[in-house]
Amino acid sequence: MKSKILPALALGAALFLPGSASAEAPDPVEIMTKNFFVSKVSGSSQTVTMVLTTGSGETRVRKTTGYTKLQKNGRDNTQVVRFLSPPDVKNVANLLIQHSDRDDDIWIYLPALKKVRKIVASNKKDSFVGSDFSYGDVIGPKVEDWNHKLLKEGTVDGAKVYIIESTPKNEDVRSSSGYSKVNYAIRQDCHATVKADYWDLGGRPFKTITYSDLKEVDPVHHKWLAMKVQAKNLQTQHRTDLIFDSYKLDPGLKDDYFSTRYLEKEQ
Amino acid sequence: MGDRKAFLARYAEWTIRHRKSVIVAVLLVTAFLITRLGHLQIDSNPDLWAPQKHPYVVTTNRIEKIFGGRNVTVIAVVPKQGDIYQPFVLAKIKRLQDKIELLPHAVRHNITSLAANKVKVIKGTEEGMEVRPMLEKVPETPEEMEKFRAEVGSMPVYKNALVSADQRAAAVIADFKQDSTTPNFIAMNAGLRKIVEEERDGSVDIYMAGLPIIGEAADREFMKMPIFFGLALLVIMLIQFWSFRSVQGMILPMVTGILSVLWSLGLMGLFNVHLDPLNTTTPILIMAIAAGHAIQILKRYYEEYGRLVAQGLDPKAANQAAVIESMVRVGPVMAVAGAIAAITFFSLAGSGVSMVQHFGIFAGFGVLSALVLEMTIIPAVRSLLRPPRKHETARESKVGVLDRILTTLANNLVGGRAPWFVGGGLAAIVLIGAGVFFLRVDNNFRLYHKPSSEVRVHDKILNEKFGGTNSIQFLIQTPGQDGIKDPAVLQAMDKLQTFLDRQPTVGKTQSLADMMKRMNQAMHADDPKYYVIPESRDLIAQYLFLYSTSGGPQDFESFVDNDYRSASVWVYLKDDGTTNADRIAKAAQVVIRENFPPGVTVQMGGSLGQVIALNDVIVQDKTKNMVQMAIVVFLLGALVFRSLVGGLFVVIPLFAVMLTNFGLMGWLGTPLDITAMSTAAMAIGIGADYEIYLLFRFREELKRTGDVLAATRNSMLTSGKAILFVAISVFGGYAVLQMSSFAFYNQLSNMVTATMVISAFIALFFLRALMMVFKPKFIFGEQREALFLKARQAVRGDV
Repeated sequence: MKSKILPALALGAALFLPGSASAEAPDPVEIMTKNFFVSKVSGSSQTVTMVLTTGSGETRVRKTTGYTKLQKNGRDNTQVVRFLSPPDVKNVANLLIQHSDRDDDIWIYLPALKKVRKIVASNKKDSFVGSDFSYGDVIGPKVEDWNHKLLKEGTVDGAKVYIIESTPKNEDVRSSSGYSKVNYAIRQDCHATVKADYWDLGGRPFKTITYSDLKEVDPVHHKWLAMKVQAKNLQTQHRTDLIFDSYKLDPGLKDDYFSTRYLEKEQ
Repeated sequence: MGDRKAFLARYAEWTIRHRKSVIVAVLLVTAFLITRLGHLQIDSNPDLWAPQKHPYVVTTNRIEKIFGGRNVTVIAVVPKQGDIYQPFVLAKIKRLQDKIELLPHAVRHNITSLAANKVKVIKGTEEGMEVRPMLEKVPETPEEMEKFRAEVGSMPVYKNALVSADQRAAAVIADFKQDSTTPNFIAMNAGLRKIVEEERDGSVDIYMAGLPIIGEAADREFMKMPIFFGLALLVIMLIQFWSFRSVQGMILPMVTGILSVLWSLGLMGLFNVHLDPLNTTTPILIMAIAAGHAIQILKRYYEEYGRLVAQGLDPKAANQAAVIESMVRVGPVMAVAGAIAAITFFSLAGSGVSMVQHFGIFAGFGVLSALVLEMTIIPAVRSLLRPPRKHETARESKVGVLDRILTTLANNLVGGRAPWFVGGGLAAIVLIGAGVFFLRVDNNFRLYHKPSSEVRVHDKILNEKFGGTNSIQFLIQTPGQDGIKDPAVLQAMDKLQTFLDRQPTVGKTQSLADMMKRMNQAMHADDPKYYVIPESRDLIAQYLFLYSTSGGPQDFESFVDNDYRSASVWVYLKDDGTTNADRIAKAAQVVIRENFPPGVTVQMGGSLGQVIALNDVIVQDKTKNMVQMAIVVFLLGALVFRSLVGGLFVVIPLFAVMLTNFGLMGWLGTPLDITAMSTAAMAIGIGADYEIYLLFRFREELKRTGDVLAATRNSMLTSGKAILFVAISVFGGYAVLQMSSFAFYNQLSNMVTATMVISAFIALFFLRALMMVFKPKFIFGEQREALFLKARQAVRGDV
């Protein structure tokens, strides 16, 4: 789906984008499906800076390094993220195993406690690690949960896009996502998202996520990711910037990296 | 003196000659000022009464800026049967939560209940920690319900805040923004009311409390003000009719009164002075004072007219001559009296409380408007109207009960009873004034509503069920980013809470320390031993981080700022007495000094903090105002009478009225609050007016007749009688407020009544007797002993 920030996004991960454009009669569901898979990279390693900025301009910076690996089902990611800064959370590490059909598994290693703990959390509309992205944004909504309508075609930053309006198919989807409507601007050539506007359950403009510096990170499989992603809450003016300082396609990562034992290896 | 009279006479003649132009000019000014009414801004928020420079208020404003929480409303759902752990009750809480969040003015992240997304259950598990929204889904089966009950029980931070100790009530705490689309609390609460009504049914009771609810009820009462204003108008007109026995006599003072109100409102619009709901009764005051001056001048007109007609002047000429004569005679006195009242009122503009500032400027403009109107349009109109008919003047001057009482009083004053009056008056003043020792300062906006009112009843129930609807907050500020993560700071916050929790009236305290202890415990498999603040700063930071991976970024927003530089400790009290809150705050200072690391500041604020601030300021302001106004009144009085003793005479009623007023409040247990500040100003303004009118008239009569008894009788029957009518008019105007079910209006009415009775008594009895006893030279001149001897003999022969 949308390119949302991938799961661990920031903390690790990757963003998305997609593949080749198809053609004439644009079917919105087909566009959204392609969009969903365009960012599913088989494996990667990256360092990411997350900048949180309040409405009054105060900022907080977090730096992470991490790996992602796509699970066999081709939709869910497994990722590990280690914090490099700020100092009081250095070496905090987390392992997230997405499950599109149930709650994700999250383990976290706290160096001050020298222990790995399992965390249970399930709320898709909750903020992702204190950012302006929700878990749902990071994981990406399921195409089949939403009704999609092609509103129009247009251009964003010189690239031709489809503007697709997605609305929740039922009350569950609506309340668990926290959105009453999302408008996506999706590039016609590669099917990567460049912009998404969200409306809250009261129908008020809620947030905008913009994806820039798009890169075809896997030319073979036509996978695209934005190297810069910004989410801005229009109601609080709080925003989060994710910047990929480095990104490497890495399909052959060992499973060892994605274990709780690995979390304990402080760097 | 002669020059001034000549000038005034020339001015009066000019006014009558150009009366049509004068009337047109005044009407044009009126029309212009009416167009300014649209610019008048009405404030309706706590800033109105909160003294903005007081440290508690400064802290409160900072707390609100960082943490939100200005218009906190508590909505409690109480099932008629059983506790809250029933699906339909929880479903109601969830619907209330969801719907309130969607209200346009809701501060979304501050809407809190068991169903709020930010209200999480933190649970220790074998493997780690589980953080989930408390009420994601309403439990259906008994097993689910029991689990839910246990989860709520595991989070002490919510007990007494979101769930009552007896588990029979659950609360939704809402917070709203105010902007131009919510000019008052009624508009602000409209959406909330609708949502709550939808949930009210036979199965539950729903109660609401909080500042917006109190404010809303007050706003509803304020909106009835036009009715009371109309009634007051009617009552004052009836009293005028009784006084003058003619339609003209009834209407003219009302014209002055109503135009004065319009002018002062227009002037406020013009000068961009705001108005507020607490000042909705001020128009009655202005109308009453304006009518008071109008009565003095009109009484004099009738008197002069009667005299001139008796001297053989034809009615038309007598009419004009009487208009001029009354302006010349009463004009200067009115100017002096009005100026003193206006200065007194304007001096309130320096108050630290906006509502009192508004009152001072509003009333000051009103008095000035009345002066201008009485010197322009009223004589112009009066000279245009047909002269009074014979039977009208006869009726006006007919000797009635009041005249007989005043004559008897005059006889007794001159006839040697004066020392008794002085002694008795002094005794009464001292006795009543002694109540001052029982006077307490307390501003409690709840008490503006009657105990049986819905607001009070709901508030009481909520106070019984939950931690308390009155709050103070401590703002903890550290020097740098992440300062709050210092274990020493969190431990100090915890100790402060432990201390506060032990105070008998404290129902609940909350802070980040509670959450931190709960997380530490959860990370140690829920072992109660770990319900403490961790010793390591890194661990604290990591817990918070951990929480952020499953909680929301705004979950702790009411406890700590984004930078972890400032935190707040919320303290809920069941008792709204400010004395008690102030005592707790002072005692807490010791705990704060002993526990917080150097460099960390802890300041107090919150809703009760603001009220304490208001009390402080009222006491200080009051004392300052009193002294300042006394000096002004004394100097002006001394100047006018060219005598220091004269100044004293004008200033005595001020002190006597204030002392007896406050004494009465002390005896009756009425606390000194912002209402009292306004009535006190009124007592000073009107009290000084009375004395000035009486002294001037007495001097004039003494000079004319050379007879103390005649001067006493004449001044009593003219100015004295007018004073009684003014007092009765003001009293009558305010008496209609007794019909209101709003305790604020009843109290105001009581205080005004007491003020009117006391100031009339002081002017007519006490000061007159004082004058007879001390025979001040500025009144009686050098021949005073001879004058009095003659007078006493005359009385003996007479009585």
